[in-house]
Amino acid sequence: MAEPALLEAAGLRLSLPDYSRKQPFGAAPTVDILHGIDLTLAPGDTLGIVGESGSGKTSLGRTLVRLYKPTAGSLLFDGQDITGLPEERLRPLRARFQMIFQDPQSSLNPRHRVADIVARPLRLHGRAATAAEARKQVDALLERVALRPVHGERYPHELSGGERQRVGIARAIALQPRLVVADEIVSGLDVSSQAQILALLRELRRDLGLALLFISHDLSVVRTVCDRVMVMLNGRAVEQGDCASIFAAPKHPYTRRLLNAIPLPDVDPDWVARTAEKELGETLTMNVKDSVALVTGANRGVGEAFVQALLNRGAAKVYAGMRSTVGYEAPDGRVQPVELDVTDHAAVAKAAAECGDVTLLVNNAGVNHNRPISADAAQRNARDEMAVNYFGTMEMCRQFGPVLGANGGGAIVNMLSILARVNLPMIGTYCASKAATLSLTQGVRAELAAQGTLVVAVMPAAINTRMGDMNPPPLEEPADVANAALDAVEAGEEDIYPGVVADGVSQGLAADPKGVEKQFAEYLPG
Amino acid sequence: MSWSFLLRRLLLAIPTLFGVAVIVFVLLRVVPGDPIAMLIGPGATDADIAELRRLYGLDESIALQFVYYLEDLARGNFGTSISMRQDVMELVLGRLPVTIELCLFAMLVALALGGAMALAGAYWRGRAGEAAVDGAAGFVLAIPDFLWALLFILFVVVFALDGLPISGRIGHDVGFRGATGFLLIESLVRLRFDAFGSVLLHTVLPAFALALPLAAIIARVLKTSIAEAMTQDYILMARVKGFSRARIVCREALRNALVPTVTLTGVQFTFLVGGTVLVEKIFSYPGIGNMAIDAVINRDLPLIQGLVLTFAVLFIATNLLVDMSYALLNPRMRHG
Amino acid sequence: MSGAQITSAGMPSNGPILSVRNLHLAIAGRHRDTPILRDVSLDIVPGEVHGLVGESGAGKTMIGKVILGIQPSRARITGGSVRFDGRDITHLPERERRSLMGRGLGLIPQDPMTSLNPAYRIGGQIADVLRLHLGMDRAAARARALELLDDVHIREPARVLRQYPHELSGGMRQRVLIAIAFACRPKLIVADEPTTALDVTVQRQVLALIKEMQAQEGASILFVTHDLGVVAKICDRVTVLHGGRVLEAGDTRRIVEAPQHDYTKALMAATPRHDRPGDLLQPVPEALTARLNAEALAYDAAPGAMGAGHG
Repeated sequence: MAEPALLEAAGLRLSLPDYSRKQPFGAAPTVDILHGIDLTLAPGDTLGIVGESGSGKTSLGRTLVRLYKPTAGSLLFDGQDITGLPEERLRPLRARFQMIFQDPQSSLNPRHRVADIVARPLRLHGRAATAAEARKQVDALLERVALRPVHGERYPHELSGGERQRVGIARAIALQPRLVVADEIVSGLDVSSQAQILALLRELRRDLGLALLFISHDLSVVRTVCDRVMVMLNGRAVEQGDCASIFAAPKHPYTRRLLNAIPLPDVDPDWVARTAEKELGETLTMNVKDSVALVTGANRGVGEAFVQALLNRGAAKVYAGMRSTVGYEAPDGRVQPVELDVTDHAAVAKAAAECGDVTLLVNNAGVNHNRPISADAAQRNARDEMAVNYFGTMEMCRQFGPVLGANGGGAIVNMLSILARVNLPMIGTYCASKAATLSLTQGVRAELAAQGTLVVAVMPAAINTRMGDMNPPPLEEPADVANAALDAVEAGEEDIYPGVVADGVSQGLAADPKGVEKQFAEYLPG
Repeated sequence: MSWSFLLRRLLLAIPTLFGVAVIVFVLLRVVPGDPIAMLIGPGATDADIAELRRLYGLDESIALQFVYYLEDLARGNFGTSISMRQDVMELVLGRLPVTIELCLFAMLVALALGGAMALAGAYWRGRAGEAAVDGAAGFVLAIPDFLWALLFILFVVVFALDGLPISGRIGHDVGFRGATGFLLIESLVRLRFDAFGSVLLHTVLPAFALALPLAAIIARVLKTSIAEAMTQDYILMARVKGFSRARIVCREALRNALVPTVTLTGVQFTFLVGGTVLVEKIFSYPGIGNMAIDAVINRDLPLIQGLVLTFAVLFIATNLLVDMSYALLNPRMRHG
Repeated sequence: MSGAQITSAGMPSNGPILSVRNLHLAIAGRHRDTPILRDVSLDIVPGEVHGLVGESGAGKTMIGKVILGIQPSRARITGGSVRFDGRDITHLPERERRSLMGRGLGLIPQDPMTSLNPAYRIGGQIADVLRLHLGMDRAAARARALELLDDVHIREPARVLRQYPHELSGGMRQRVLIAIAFACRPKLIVADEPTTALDVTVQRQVLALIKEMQAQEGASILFVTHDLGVVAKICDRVTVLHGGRVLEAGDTRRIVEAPQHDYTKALMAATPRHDRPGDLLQPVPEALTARLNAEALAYDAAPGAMGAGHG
């Protein structure tokens, strides 16, 4: 960057106490509001921050002007580190970054005249020695925001919404700041006043060289004042870039959703029904080609087949996760072995940090002790199966969910089994762990839908690997199962039953669940 | 409402009570007047007086007296009344139900009266009805409870309302001695309607004297809260739903207006309890208020201590009940 | 006067469910009355979604309130009529007015956060209209409330029925309010900026829901809004209001694609379009606003105008 940044935030995190869940005598638990935000703003730059309620956009704005103290990360204003600067040392700096609030009704003191409200920062910061001098500057400021000196004599409640917001702007620019953070300042106004305020902001930016951070829930408004835009969802930036390119080709599904939801003033009686239908049946899909995949349990069986299928389909990179990489030979230069035990939280967290470019996660690692519930070690076996099949999958989804979100949504494939739907005697604990993981998969799917992550549950019958030899024949080929799963990712299918056996069982379950259960109960291996 | 909330409030009551105990102890040691001198008949020798002082522990140092005092309190031993020569705890517990019953009865009267006035004022908002309610509340509030008590007595005497007793708690001719002291409730439970009627008649005047100022305050606050609630969007919705004005005021607005009223009623209820001191005396009503005046006149230190602590417990209990009632009224607080 | 140029072109032959004719309304002040509505006329036919567009202060919300009979007490109807289902409802006695609610008229309010009573459960707030207007008993009303919540696509309706308003999001509350509005199958629903307080994605869902419920139950809707984008998507016809006067009315396509009045054109130019790069929003020109205000004042002063003075 040629110009030094005016504002630079890196890895900004924010947690705030949640008093609604406070217990007596204890500290209030905290909620995470921002999960690592990076942004830079050059002098005179305009950045729009867009998101819906709860996205953290307002908290981000307040953190950037240090109304909140970030929990982690760094915040530089004009080269000076203000991340943890105490308030008394921040105060002289405050003149240089100002904030305009959403609701002028409550941010302007109702007992003071407009002129006093605008003059206050001038007097506080010693910019006007005498009342007359202050008054002169106030009149100039009012004129600057297209108000007349008579407005200075009025009280806030005597002004219209648009006029009040102009007073807010006049107060914010009184100290000639270099940065103004405007938080939803046009959301309460009708279109005409909104257009006026936006025009005024453009003018001020041009004339005063202000850098502007414009926070709004409305993408179309952002476009008229900002050069760049950042889209926020659940405290993360899901997309950031030039307005021109983002509006022309939004990459993240959430950005597309936001854009599609704006009703343009074109007559289109079917728009509502059509977009609603699209929303309901909105199928998330993903191209495996050029994707960056991570496969757990990649050194054998179905995992190996997944790696090969991904390579065949043109994946850009495949992280091959396995407990120990010793003796592993990568089949291709694009494959990168990763030591990863899914039952080890720290290892999973480390992998999520290292493999930050993953767009497709294949949770394949699983164990099957192949023992009946009456077996001696059943208790230990069951715990082991749950630890890998259920908790391992959960931890992977938990840690990689944000990674996928940051990379545009992506997809998760959870390798389950038809035994997640029906229990086969003699391996009941394994079936239970898969059933739990199916339930978990549905939960993950619901949670990650907003960030555009597709979550696929793959439920084949027995597969021709070492693990599957106890199950009823015929056995599926690992490559077929892997390819069926990747097909599902590309088609946006959520639950698949690859192979005739699994397909038959699934249809049988739909028609007569009890019948299938009885049928399975009669099957005893050996 | 959580148990931890209750527990916290109960724990907080301990330092409050301790504070009250300290203040009572200190105050009673510095007030002028010698209780022994009041107690003892003329012609007593100095030795008699010294003997009595020793008996009541008044010859020890102040610090030691305080330690004994706290020890006794912890054991529930409030000492022996100097003037009545009886255990203070027994005396107070014997009279306490009388005052509690009187206060609760007065409270019910205040709530019914104040609530009715508030609803009437809110219903006829902006019309003559509201002005009448405001005027009545202002008038009632201008006269304190003990003055109402005197006015009532004047009324009864002037108009010779013989049916309304102005002294005591139960007619002498009614042979009813309760086992609990809660005569009103007990007589009802035992189906002794003659006794119930007699106690009720004796209680009406002191209860109304105590209740009237509180009723006026409730009327004012509740009416304002209802008026405030009536400007809310959900009231507009209720109108659009087609509900009658009476239903909107009594159901939609009242429920939301209750919270601030309950807060204030709780605070005011403690004043009502305090008011019993004078009002019980005026009506010779045998409660702890009446007893308190006698105790002060007689400089009966142990009894005063016991009574003040009893009043303190009453106040704390009232506030606790008020806090608990918020949770019932405001669904938002139930999850806290 | 442009207010007189309203035609009923394009209106289907069956009679209107609502007919506002030359409505005048003023707010009584200490010294003089302030005119709010000036000679407003509009018709809504059965099954129509009629948009009422204007800036704040145009009087659009007041029209909705007059129709529902909830205008502030200082507001005086100084002329004209509002005919609902064939009879004038401007001066109905209170009891008759109330009987129109529920089965005749309904409201979808602007602010879902404050429009549900915080002290009562959702179920009770839906059931009470059913019991009042349809005479249902407690059990039937509860069953129907459950059905209604399901109709407005609330998941786990049985649980929501037992919840209090503060436990629901804004979008959910608006769904509940829509369920209440449609509960007794009214003939006309006034939707008073029902999506202004919502996020865009929630707005779209709520608009879809209103359309769906309308198609299912067959009510007419008076849709009050300042957003021409919303109008273009869901209204059949539009009335444009400024300073309490109707400036232009007609078919939505005609208004949006070929606006006649300068003010309508200006409103279109002020509406954001993210699909047009470099499109800088044009505020309504001050000269135009001044001209419109002057016209309104001239109208008040003109002889024969039924202005203030009845109070």
